[in-house]
Amino acid sequence: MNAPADRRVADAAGAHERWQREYREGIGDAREIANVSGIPVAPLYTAADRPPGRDAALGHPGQPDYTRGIYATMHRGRTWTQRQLVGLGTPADYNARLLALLERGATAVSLIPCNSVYRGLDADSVDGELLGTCGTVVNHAGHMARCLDGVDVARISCAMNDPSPFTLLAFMLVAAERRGVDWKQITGTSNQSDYLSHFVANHMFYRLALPGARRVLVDHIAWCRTHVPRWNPMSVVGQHMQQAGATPAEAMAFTLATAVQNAEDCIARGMDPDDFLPRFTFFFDISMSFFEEIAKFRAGRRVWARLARARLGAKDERSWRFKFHAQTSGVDLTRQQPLNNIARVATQAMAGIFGGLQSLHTDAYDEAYATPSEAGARIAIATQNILREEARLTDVIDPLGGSYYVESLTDAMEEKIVAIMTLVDDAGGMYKAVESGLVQRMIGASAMRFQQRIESGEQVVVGVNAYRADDDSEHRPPVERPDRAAMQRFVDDFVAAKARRPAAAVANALDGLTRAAESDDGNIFAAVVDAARAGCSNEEICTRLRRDLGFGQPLVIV
Amino acid sequence: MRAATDLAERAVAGDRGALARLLTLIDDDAPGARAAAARLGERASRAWVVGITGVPGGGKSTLVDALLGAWLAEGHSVAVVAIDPSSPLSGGAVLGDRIRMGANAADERVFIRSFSSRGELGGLSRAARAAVDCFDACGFDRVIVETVGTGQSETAIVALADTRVVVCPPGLGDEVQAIKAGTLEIADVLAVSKGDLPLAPQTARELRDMLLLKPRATGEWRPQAIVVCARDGSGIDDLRAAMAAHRDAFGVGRRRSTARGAPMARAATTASDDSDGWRVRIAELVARDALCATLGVTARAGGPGSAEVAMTVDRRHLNFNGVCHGGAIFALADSAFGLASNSHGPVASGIDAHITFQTAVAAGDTLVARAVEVQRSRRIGVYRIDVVRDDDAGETPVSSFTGTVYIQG
Amino acid sequence: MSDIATPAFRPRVLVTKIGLDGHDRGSRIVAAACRDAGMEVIYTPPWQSIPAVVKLALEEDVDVIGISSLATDHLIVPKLLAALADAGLGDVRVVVGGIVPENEEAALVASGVRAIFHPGGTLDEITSRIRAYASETRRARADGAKAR
Repeated sequence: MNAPADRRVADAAGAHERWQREYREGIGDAREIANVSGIPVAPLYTAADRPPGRDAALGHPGQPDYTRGIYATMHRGRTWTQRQLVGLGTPADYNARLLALLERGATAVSLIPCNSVYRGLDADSVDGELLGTCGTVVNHAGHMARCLDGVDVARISCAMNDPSPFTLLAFMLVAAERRGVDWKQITGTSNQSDYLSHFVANHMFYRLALPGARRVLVDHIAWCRTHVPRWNPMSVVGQHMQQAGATPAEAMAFTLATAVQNAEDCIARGMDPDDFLPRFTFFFDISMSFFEEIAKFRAGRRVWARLARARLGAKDERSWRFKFHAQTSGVDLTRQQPLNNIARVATQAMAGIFGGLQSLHTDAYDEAYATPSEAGARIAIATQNILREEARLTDVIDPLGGSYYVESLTDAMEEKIVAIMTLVDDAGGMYKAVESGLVQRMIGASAMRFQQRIESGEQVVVGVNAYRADDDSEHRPPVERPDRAAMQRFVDDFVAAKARRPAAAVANALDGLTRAAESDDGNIFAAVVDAARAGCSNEEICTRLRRDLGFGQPLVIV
Repeated sequence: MRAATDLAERAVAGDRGALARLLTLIDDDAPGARAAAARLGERASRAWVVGITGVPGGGKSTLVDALLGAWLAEGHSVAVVAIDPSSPLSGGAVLGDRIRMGANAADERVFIRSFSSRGELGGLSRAARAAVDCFDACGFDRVIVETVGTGQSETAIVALADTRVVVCPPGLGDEVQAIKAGTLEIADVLAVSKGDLPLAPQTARELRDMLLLKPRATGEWRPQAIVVCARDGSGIDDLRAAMAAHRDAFGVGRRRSTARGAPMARAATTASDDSDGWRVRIAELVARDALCATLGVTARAGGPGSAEVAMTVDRRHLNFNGVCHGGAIFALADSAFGLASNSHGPVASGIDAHITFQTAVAAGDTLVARAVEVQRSRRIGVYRIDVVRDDDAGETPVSSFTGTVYIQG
Repeated sequence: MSDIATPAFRPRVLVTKIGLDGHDRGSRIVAAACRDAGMEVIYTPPWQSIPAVVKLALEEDVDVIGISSLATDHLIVPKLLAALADAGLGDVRVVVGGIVPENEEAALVASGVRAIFHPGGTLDEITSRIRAYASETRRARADGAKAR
């Protein structure tokens, strides 16, 4: 007589065969599907796909290797931060939009500066048409103070989106100091501190030459640990690379490799990993490949925990926790039938939430072709509120854990991520891999492959290569540009303010930058803060450091 | 015809736009363009033509930028002919050299023109010679010809440049001998780039050792290997001094008068009293070669330093796209290479080879590979093999192959 | 004599970005597609100044200039066209690819931009149109030369 367990197994095998038969009869040709990272995706996953005991070893949220989440409570305890990027016009425009968003439920600040600021150019050095169209013009500490009028930076977390040499943070610290705020209370992140990702993609953020940027980063981390201890000076960015065409597995692998590189640079400087790793955060893209993104994040948590422990020698559990902010992918949004983007953003946001993010930015539906309108920004925040409070996605931690598919995919993504990281290691580490162009070539190839999938129709983009509508321009309202007259007045005020500064103080402060750059142990970021205090402008600081450390020119690879 | 002459006159009068358009006509081989350029060429041989070559990523363009900066500071006007390989599949190209000359490119006294090799067997744009003549006539007193080092370009640069600089990145180790032996043969000055890297001095030493292997007559030019770091400018002055010394010794405008200007000779007509004997010897060697037997490679002719073999493409040579597998063409060229390089007696072992493919080859095509000896010293030999498709219409270029051997004994 | 009748005619295309934005994923793909379609492409990094673009276009005798603009850099394209005309390069066709709001298209076209490629077009469409514009440029030049 068969033991019950045996019969269940026999039944299960028979059931599976029956399913396979019926599936093939129903489907016809068995076309293999692979996700964006190149991992084949089966039509069905069952318990038989899981190696015995594997999922029992999955672990719990808040415990290594954190596959199910880095905290025991996750979103049920504290919901993700709703941190919407804001950037437009003059500081006054920024301040108005920010206060409105905070009132509507945003819980943190993120400031996007104008492209001119990214390029290290002040408002009076640039074509007027280009000012304030994609971000806020902030050229000195006074401008930053105006941006943050009425915002208690001691209580609200502020992300500054500026790259090396982090002038925006310097301006913010000076503005806070003038208000009597203790730096030790300030929280937030240097969101664009990942100079390697800027060298590879999103080049607009790239100001200093590669070796100089490397040095400034470590100075920045060291200085912040001492003076603004609750600040996250390192945000390792995968978003740029994925937006540039990296597959999700590549983006995660390259990002982790960058984190390892930066950590090793800090360790080489004599810093203790348990001192700085808890302040490393990550910033990722969330694409439309729903399950792939969830698996990417879960696998990433697992791989990072191991790396931090085994490779970087961190002993504190806080160093092993992979904290990340995610942004829904702009590249996936379409100009055609733009209202469809609302559905896209909701889908991407869900994937990020199921993936266990700590902080989320949802794009506005019109972000594909403009800086978001008020209506668009409002819907983006509402999307998050709906997912959390109507769909109640926060009720259960890692709800997809244990899913045959999601766990199988997490394992497969982990394998791919590790394989790519090995390639980078073989090239001598992320810095060398990026310097030589290896990473850029891989990403370029992935971008081309993705483009070909769209052109061949293999990847459908609704409204673009399928389900087209004749004309949907009524949902593309005219884009508003900053008021040119107001911007001109702003620039004139700025020029006048610069003229009123004590010239000696400015010159001294800039020389301080040079002294720090030329010395072996001077801290360049400390000198940047001093320069901000002396009233130096973003362009003045960047120009001087470019002179001393080299002008940043990323590799161009076609 | 008239247009080209008209443009030439305006170019010489200082019209940069006209010069640019003339260069296009030359590049496209429009009627009368090359003749117009040749007439311009007769007017002047004032410019110092410097050929700069090196592997991609080897620091060549950065070095060109450094030279530009130094020459501009001295008040010279400089033209740059930047040549990038074209895609053998599409014939198109991405021309990316000039972007590395950033700030200097903006200077009024600089004119940068990018060419693709356009399938030129020699790798060097056919138009480059005419372009150099134009720039010379228009008053640029320095002309840089920059090419990617793929074996073929270097040998063609011999015909064009007064002073030839080869740029080597550090750390190639054993590969220094292999890859660039042929290149080193033509260098008047060697620059080891990225001088701040730890392996740079060692690379320079290795290059100097290699140069010593080549027997030179007394009074013959001895190339130096100089370590340069474009980033901080170190070594640039020494490099310029070595280049200037060469120029002072040999003069400028040599492309006009030397036999180097002549195209490479074809191997099949190499004079040899014993051509039957050579054919028999080559046939014996081919018969002993298992791969030749497998592929159906036959011997046609030979001589000291030359060889000619043939192969008719059939089903077994095809790849998954139904055209001749590149490896089969390579094997054919390589067979000619081996025969030519071993024709003098001592065993020669191939240490580097490079091939480009110009045209797809189909089943039924008859391919002929002809090898000529470009250079040979006691230890190193460089060979050029041209592969053509031989049919009723004549001979169509199919592929170019360059190979280097190390001679034993 | 007509340039375009020359068998060796290969369109010479400049793909570049002016202004402040650095996103170049799309422009790199278009440059590669032009190469694969048999054209000679001069590809620059982002942030080219207008004078630099004009000098390059002049020296390289380009037939078509493709400006990639994803943010707001298209707003200074009319300045580029004016600078090209001043330099005697008014025949060169200029096209813009990327993100251009509808209400700003007319100004671009009025300034002389021949085409605006929005996202969603195929690479084949883009490269064949660029090739056609290159022929137009060559014809315009040949006619101009005859007129002298």
